Amino acid sequence: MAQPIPGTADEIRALVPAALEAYEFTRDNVLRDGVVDPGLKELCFRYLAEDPETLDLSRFEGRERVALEWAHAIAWDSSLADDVLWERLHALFSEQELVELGCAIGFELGQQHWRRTVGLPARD
Amino acid sequence: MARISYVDPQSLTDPELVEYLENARRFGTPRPETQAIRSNVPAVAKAFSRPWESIFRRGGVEHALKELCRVYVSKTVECRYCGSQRSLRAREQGLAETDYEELLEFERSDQFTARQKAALLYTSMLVWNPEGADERVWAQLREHFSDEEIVELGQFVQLTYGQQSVIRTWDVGHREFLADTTAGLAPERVEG
Repeated sequence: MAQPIPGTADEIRALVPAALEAYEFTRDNVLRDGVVDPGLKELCFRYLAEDPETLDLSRFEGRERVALEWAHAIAWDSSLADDVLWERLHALFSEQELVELGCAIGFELGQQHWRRTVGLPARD
Repeated sequence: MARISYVDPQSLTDPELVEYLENARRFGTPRPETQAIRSNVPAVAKAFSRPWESIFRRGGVEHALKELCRVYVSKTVECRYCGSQRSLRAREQGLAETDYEELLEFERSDQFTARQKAALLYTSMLVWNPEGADERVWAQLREHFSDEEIVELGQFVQLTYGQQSVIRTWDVGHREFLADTTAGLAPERVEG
């Protein structure tokens, strides 16, 4: 299907200035900056977009592995966020990091789904 | 109890964060518990609350319609915490408890207008099958909404969908924080 509204994601968001402003704040302060290593968040965002290089979780360990498992639970099966997963999350992340990482995954998950409804790939 | 600690309200000094928590206490939707978790990281609380105010509470699309879409997301992704909240503003705009009852069967229901059904169909696609937002879906949307309204609706739905998805993993319970307030709770939860 041709793009129903032509343009980049930001050009489409700009039809509603408050939406673009909000996205830019989130991108600059939560998705690409903050208390959690941006590289770790980027890995989770690629996993949400089903980047083939991220899908085999056995390739990862430590903070990366548990962050990806949480991303999976957030996006696809919340029952996987059980006592065991939370124990591992708390062992490897501070509470501030958990707030930021989880919400960042939620923000990115929503934006990826929205992008796909306007004929764009999940990520640039 | 929630998997992440609630912020100590006395520790908040940023007036913007204090206002968000006070609004949650007075009006609900969002309730104080999730705002208190986000407030552990000020940038996160602002990243959520600013568009919540500008796109959900205000904006060009009527608030009551966006509230229907929010509760549809809650019901379909089974976020019970979010699904048992009700927007007081939407109630003031005429949304009744019965309006929520047939949300999951909106396409077959006589409860909803064609405009509401177009918005709910788009919401369903965004959550479950984004590529399914095809020519048919967009044609229905454009019968009832301008491009600006469709973008506002989409940006609201993606925000609430993404946040409800993470809230489901927090195991948050109502009245675990600022327990004196029942603002914004669905009727069946107020008695609880």
